[in-house]
Amino acid sequence: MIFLLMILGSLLVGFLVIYEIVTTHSVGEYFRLENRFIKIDLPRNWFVYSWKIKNSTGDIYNVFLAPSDLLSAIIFKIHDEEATQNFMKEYNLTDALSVATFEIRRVYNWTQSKNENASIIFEETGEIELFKKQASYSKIIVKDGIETDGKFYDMSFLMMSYIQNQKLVEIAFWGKKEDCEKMSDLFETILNSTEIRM
Amino acid sequence: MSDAVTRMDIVHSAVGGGICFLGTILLSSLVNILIQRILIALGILTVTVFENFVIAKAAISFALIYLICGFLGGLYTGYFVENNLKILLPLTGGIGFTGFTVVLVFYGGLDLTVNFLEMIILPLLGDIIGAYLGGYTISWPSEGEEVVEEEISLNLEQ
Repeated sequence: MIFLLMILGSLLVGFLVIYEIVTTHSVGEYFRLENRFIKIDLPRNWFVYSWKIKNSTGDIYNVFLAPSDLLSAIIFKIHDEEATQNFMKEYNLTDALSVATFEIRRVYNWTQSKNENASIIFEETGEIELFKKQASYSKIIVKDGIETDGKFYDMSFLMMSYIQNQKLVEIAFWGKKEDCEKMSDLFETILNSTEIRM
Repeated sequence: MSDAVTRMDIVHSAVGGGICFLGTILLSSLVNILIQRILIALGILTVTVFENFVIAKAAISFALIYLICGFLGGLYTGYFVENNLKILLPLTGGIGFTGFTVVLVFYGGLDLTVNFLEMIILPLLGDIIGAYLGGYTISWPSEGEEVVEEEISLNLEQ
């Protein structure tokens, strides 16, 4: 009896805490994640992880978002001054555009390590206004760049980056090309709701 | 009835701890999947990103993993050991907890300093309390109750 009461009591506490999270963070159809790095409205039923890498070369705050039913993901990487400086120095990068290009190359090399026949079939580079700041972006489509269920599909990868007050912000949006197309409106909505606090 | 802890008592307690440990390994992955499925079904999977979710998950894990596995280990120990359950049942829970923690540290890269409440306090408490409850559930009369025999006589002459 005591055993069952303890189990039921603990489960009740667990679900009450979840209920409290839902009521506290609900903003319309979204959940709002707000901390000293970012304010972002997240879709309610996604896989979302946030973590901070803290070491001698600076701090990097990351938020990873992926829908539970599509093969695509979004990642935000917010570097502090020290992390930005070290990252740029380590890979010999000079500005936001070189960061975007570097990440594109890194992802392409990674897809080639998974599939030798993967090849870039489309590429676009330019500048865009992001969070009222001028950001650089680079976009590629990699033919047979992503594997799922033993089959290769075309992969879409968009990389955006900007540097403000010597702090680098990177945003990547990638996945199966068709799934990225389905998600593009939602990606835009998420971006519009986001505020980087650095 | 001797009160000394025998070698077999310790072996049974260790086997109980092993049952607790194996149960924890099995249930921890099942419970993680279960929590994820429930949240997806409720349409609120995103709650996992918030800091308070750690508390919710710890409470649910305490109930569905550590208490249950401690209970199972305690059932085994209580069934085979008659004396000194007060000493041997915490040993059962402690062995289950230690085994699981060692696996998490060496194979899961667990940082014990960061997840102190979630990974140390609650699992240890759950395993030990579960082991006590399991052990005394199965061998309650041997330590908890004394059998008192009284002669009952019925006087029919009155």
